[in-house]
Amino acid sequence: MTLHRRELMKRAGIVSAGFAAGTQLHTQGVAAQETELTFWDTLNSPPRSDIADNLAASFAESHEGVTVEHRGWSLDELVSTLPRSVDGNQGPDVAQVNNGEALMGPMIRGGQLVSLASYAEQFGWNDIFPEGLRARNMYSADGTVFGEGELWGVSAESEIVGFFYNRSIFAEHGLSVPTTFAEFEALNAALREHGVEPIAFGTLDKWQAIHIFGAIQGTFTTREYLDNIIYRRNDASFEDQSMLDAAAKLVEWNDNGFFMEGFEGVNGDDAVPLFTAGMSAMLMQGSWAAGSVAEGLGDDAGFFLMPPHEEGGTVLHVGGVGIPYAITTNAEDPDLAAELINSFVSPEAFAQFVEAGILPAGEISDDLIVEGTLSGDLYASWNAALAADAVGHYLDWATPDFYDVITAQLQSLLGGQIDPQAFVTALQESYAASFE
Amino acid sequence: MVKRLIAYTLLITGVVVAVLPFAVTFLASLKTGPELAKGVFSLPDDAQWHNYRQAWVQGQFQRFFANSVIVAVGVVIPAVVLSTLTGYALARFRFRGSGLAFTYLLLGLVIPLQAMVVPLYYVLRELGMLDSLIGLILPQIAMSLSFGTLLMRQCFQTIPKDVMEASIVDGANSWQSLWQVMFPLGRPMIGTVGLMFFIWTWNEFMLPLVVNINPKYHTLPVGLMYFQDRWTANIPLIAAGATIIFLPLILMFLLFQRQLIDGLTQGAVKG
Amino acid sequence: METTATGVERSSTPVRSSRRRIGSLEPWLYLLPGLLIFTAFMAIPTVGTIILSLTDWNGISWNTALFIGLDNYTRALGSGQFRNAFINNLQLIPFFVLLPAVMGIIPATMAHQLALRGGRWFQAGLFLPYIMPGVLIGVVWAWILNPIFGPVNRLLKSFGWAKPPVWLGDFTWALPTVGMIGAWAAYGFCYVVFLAGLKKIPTEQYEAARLDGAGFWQEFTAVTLPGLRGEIAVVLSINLINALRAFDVIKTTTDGGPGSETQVMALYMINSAFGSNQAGYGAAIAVLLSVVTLVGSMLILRLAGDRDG
Repeated sequence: MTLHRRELMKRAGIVSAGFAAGTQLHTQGVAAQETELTFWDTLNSPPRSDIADNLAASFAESHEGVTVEHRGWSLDELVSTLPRSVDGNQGPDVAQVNNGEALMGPMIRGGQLVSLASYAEQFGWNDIFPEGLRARNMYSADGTVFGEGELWGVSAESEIVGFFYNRSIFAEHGLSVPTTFAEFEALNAALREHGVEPIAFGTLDKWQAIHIFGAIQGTFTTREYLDNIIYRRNDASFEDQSMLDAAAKLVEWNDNGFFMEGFEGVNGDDAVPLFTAGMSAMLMQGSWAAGSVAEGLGDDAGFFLMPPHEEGGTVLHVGGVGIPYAITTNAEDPDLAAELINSFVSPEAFAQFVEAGILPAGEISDDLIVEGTLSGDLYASWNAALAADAVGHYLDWATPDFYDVITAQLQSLLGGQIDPQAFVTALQESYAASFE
Repeated sequence: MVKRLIAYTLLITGVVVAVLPFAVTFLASLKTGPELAKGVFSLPDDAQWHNYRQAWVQGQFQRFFANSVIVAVGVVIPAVVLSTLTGYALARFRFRGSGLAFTYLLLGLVIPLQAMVVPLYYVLRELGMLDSLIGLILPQIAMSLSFGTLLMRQCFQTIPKDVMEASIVDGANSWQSLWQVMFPLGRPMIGTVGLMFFIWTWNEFMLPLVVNINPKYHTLPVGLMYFQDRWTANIPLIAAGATIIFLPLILMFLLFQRQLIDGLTQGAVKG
Repeated sequence: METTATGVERSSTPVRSSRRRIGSLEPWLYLLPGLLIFTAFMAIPTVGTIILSLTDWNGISWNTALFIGLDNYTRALGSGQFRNAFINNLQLIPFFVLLPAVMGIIPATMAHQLALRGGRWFQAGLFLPYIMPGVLIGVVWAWILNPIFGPVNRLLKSFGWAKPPVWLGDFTWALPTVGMIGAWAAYGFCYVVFLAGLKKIPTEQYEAARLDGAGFWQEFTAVTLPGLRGEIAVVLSINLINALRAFDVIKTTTDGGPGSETQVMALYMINSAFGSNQAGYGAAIAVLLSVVTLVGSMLILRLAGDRDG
């Protein structure tokens, strides 16, 4: 069912955005003695749903006369539901609103969200993430320009893409975590030599192709270039040496057998159990897979980020902030709603996320990092990337239909149907067309 | 004998290939993720039956199941009755505009739901039918009518004219002759049509997804989406949910398969 | 229709007249409930789609919709992506249309003529694929065809084929593989329809053929095929409709990939309408898709009708 996720996200998002265009009813409810706050998000299965319920309960406890109701959805449903229900004044006070044009932009333009600019100052939300990441939750006041202007949402979680590895397999072949790009390549070659499948991932359902390409591209690029591309500024173009180099490197890696044999026919989700079953030495995935990996391998699994070309250099890693919480115009008491959001980024929330092995918003304190564990590796990697302002972007955010374009082109590139130059040209053509 | 052997081999191969994906799904529902990776047909060390309980209770499948039953019944019975009426009208009467009416109703066969789901949403919104089971039922009755009209018309056309005329001579009006004579004779086809409607309605995914916001009104296929996070899917749970979805259909089919064949046999398909 | 009053009157005393009276209201009374519900929930949305197809609408805000005439259509017909999708649909036809028909008719004929035992069980087993929810078919086949843990490639490897194709992810094999999955979903249905049709062919025809010394093949061409003409037409047109609007299976297996090897019209329509904020353009593709389907199925029914004489 990986199947519909992307698809429905897109479809649901756009369709429902259309629904939002109807009349805006904003009826003021009769002032009740008991205030009920509702929030909707994607924390719909344990441990996330438990955390959300806990946070709701403790907020109600500390605010007299307030009850808090939490409802967890799958992302697709939330995206398809939210604009419609806000439109009908049946929406929640607070909800996770998918970044960018997927949902946030259309909802702002439809007058369905409350700007968080003043609250951001009040609660210090601007200090949680460096600007490059914070910009993802920003829009101009009229909702037309992405990545600048006012803050419209606050993320409680983070995510980053890297490599999970099997410690036993590494030890068995006397291999260690690479610190440079060249070492990483040597590591893969050595594994292939030993008859071990190096990297598990799958491109049948497409989306992971973006991650592996993004991971490599991140070693050749700069923060400035990547921000320009994603926020569509300063005439950035895909006709860039970093894109060409990354494409060539991807092909080279494929030719050298760094990727698990048959990855073209494997779904992204199915690659995780392949790795945890010990059938490959590494797994290219995001931090969100840590739970499944831990379930299968425990602390026999470790995690590292794509290493830089030169020791100590900077790599931009694929990743970012979780889906941000926003205040809808259905909220009768936006101030209270803002307080609720603030409780999601409180130290208390932070501790609960960390305990569940989930990357929270912001830096993780050193005492929570236990060396030699999967979570320890993950937190240390995240802190390092955050400190270096090295959390990059998902390239498919570049235009509304870029996901389809770049995944198709990547499959063609990996399948030997086109060369790196043609690949880059095709991307740029589509990118340029989106400005017309 | 050789011919028999070939025939049996062909049929058995056909059945095995047909059943294979169901077996795979069922097996997957009892495994853990890593066990799935060891081979689709490997047996689980420990059958994870709790996946079913989790789907049924935490995944709210009990509620979705009830909704699916209500929607299926709410679609199948009216759709069968309406198809009988339209099929009867087009088979029994010769009247100006009958060809046009028939063609109009058949248009539903060539227009995919994806092609009209956005305007349909607005129609339902105008009628105040969003977030309700009736909002799922009425459009699916309409979607079923094309096929139903086609088959019921054919069915009634094959009933010899004198049978109907005899009833008219007996003093029955067209309404009485429909229910007293034609309906019983057409019953096998009615069973077939009903079974097809049931299968389609039970498996319909896109319509309930778009129409209903509130999980109170979700049906089973949409409920499957509960087992996926933003990036990862719980495959064994999805497999368990899928098994819960197709098991009633299989039972239904085993019960009514005589009807299906009889109905198809009866429906002389005329070019 | 102009004799409304008499028509109503007639319908209450229909004994002698209803068949002769053209313009009677009576059939319309039977049609009315069906027509109403069909109009409200099928026809009006369809007209809505046609209207949408003439606009430049981003799918978000109605007041940005702009009437642009046939621009969406000229754009679609001139687009390489649409052409590619259309050609892929055509390439699916042998798999979605002919293959399941052949895979259904041969065993059905054998089962019928040889009066095999256990017919009911074969029928039940073969019909099963028709029951599987569309969204599930692709997921399960992706497991079965998984190059690493799927049984197909394991079997092939055990036969000594060191590097069997990755099927759904292979540029050469993806389309035929998707086609085979479509054939899988359809052949049991074809079998059941053909078996039902065979039961209607009078046994005398077979006996006569046998007296003339016809072998299995001659019998098949001289008696079975003509006898099943109606069923064949229906099966082929249903299969054709499925081939032209193929969506679920492709969405859940390859999502149009690798590259755009399995991109089809329905997928392109959905991606345009919902993925790229181009609801108007998507609607135009939807209309084109419906027209192609209409023409295709009429063609098949016409061909079968002509042979009917």
